[in-house]
Amino acid sequence: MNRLEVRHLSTSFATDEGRVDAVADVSFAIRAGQTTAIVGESGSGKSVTSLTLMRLLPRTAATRVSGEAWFFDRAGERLDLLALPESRMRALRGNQVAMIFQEPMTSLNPVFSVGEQIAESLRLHKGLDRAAARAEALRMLELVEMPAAAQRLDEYPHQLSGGMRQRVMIALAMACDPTLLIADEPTTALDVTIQAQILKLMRKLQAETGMSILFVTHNLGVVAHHADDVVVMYAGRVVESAPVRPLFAAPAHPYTQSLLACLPSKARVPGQPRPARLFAIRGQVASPLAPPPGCAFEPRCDRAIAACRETIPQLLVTEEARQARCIRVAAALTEAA
Amino acid sequence: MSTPLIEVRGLKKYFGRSDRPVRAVDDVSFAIAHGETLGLVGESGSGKSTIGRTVLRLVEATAGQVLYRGDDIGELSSERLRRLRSRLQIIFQDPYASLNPKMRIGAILDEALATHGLHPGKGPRARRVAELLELVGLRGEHASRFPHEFSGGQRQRIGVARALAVEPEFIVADEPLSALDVSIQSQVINLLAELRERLSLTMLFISHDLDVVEYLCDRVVVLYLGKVMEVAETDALFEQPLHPYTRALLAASPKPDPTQPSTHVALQGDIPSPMAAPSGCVFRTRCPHAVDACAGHVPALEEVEPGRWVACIRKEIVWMKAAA
Repeated sequence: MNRLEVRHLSTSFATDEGRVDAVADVSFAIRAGQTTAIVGESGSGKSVTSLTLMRLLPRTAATRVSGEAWFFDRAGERLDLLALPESRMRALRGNQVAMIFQEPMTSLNPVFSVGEQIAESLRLHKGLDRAAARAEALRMLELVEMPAAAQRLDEYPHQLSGGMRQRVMIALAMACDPTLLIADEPTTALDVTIQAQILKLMRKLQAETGMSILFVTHNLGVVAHHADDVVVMYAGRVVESAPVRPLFAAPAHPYTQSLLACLPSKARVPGQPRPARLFAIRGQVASPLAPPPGCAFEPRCDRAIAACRETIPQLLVTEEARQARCIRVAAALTEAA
Repeated sequence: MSTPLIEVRGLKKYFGRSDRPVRAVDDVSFAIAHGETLGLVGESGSGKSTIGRTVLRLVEATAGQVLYRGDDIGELSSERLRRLRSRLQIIFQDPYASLNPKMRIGAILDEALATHGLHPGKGPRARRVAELLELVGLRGEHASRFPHEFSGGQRQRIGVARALAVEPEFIVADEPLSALDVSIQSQVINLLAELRERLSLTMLFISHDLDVVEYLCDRVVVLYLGKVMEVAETDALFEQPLHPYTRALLAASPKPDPTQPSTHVALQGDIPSPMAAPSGCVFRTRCPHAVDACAGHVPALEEVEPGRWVACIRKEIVWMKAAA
């Protein structure tokens, strides 16, 4: 069963130099109780995808959104997050669908204590009175294993460390028992020993509540150990999607292959001298204002052929639960058929 | 062994009030041989960036010495220090903040040459600027552009060119890759490795990314709250970390391979504030092996096998094989 099904999602922004397609024709699904990771580099559209789903894009950006995002709520009802009236979206957001961000310092309100911030959400969505909301806020801080939780309730975000702030963010997100948690680079600003704690906490909460997680990240190490399914994005489009193990074992798209090959940890084989050079993807991502006519990765791809410059390849099913957007993959499929 | 190119002895850097100092760097010693790349790893507050800056005397040390070819750079007159600066350079983390946005790339590089009186005359300097840009994989005509016209990876190449402009022997690379995407990171890693080879550079490579350190460095110094926990050859360190902190740090870094065992949380709690560092061993508050004696005194950095130094009083733990 799927918790969320995103179909042909596109988001574009108006800029002084013209319209920019930040996200184009993105489709993927998140299974109930599972984690889907969106990986990509700067400008791949991974964060815009999550903000579009939450309908949190700034209005000033003159955004244009199309596509569907079917969310299956707790009652089993099927809702299109992109078409829902704002009032219903507001009831859903922070309730059944919650989000955590990279930098908890900028997403927490600096003038309210952490207890007040968690309690506010509980009063709003669960209709608790002040005393009950405060008691529940304490329970949430304990749930996220906040050290000295009772004392932290009355502290302000600036008094907490980065790891503790992210725990507060997670407590806030968990307060209304979400069925879908969108986590946008939740551990990127943290040290590795703290990152390990937060990732473990997220796994524990997922196991206890059965929530689904959409994990947006650029960190392939985190993806390898904390995702069930992976969606790889490049220049606003999904280039490949697959369950985590097959993706790392046999990436289908040349971009995924190259991305994994560039990692320094993959370059060393124990007992052998390190290679003189790392694999590197040449060049850089094309400007979104002047995208290549065909496949966006073509200018950097070692396997590109003339046909790659002609049209944008389709995202094709290559085998069960796997998709890739590459004409070489498409050609191989036709040959096999 | 011949005199190391750089030697740091008992380096201390305290910030703030003298009665309640923040001990950012507290009694750190290490040496870097000619042509060697030494990695400096640690989490926030470990003092790694402060060490990098103090080694170059961009920040004055509170105590201790930094020797360059045996000469104490803290004792040098400002004139001699200025001349020495061309031998010792730094590459900064953020290629967006470290280039003057109002200067063309050519002018940024030209300034470095002019300051040190290298390649006198406009023509020779312009030729050298073009050479430098080509050295880092850019083109001569890029000299007339401004920093905002370049991507992050290209800016970091310019940062590298600026550091190399004055033909240094020694470079402090302070997290030069952390602002870059993975696909661009490997380009810059290759560039650094290639230039190091061609120009026989000695490097102090500061990073929190253990995979990059493992790939690029010959030896590694592991820091925690301003103190050295362990020093080892790279291969030995990654094969068998000895200090409990090094073990925890390695265990916490997820490998990009789902078939490998997942990371485990070896450390509870937060890194203490450097304003209130624990007594004795600074790591003891998070160490799974801490005993009462750890609070008593600061453990000495001892050579446990040739070239391998560990600061931990629990010798039986240090020699216990890392649990699989």
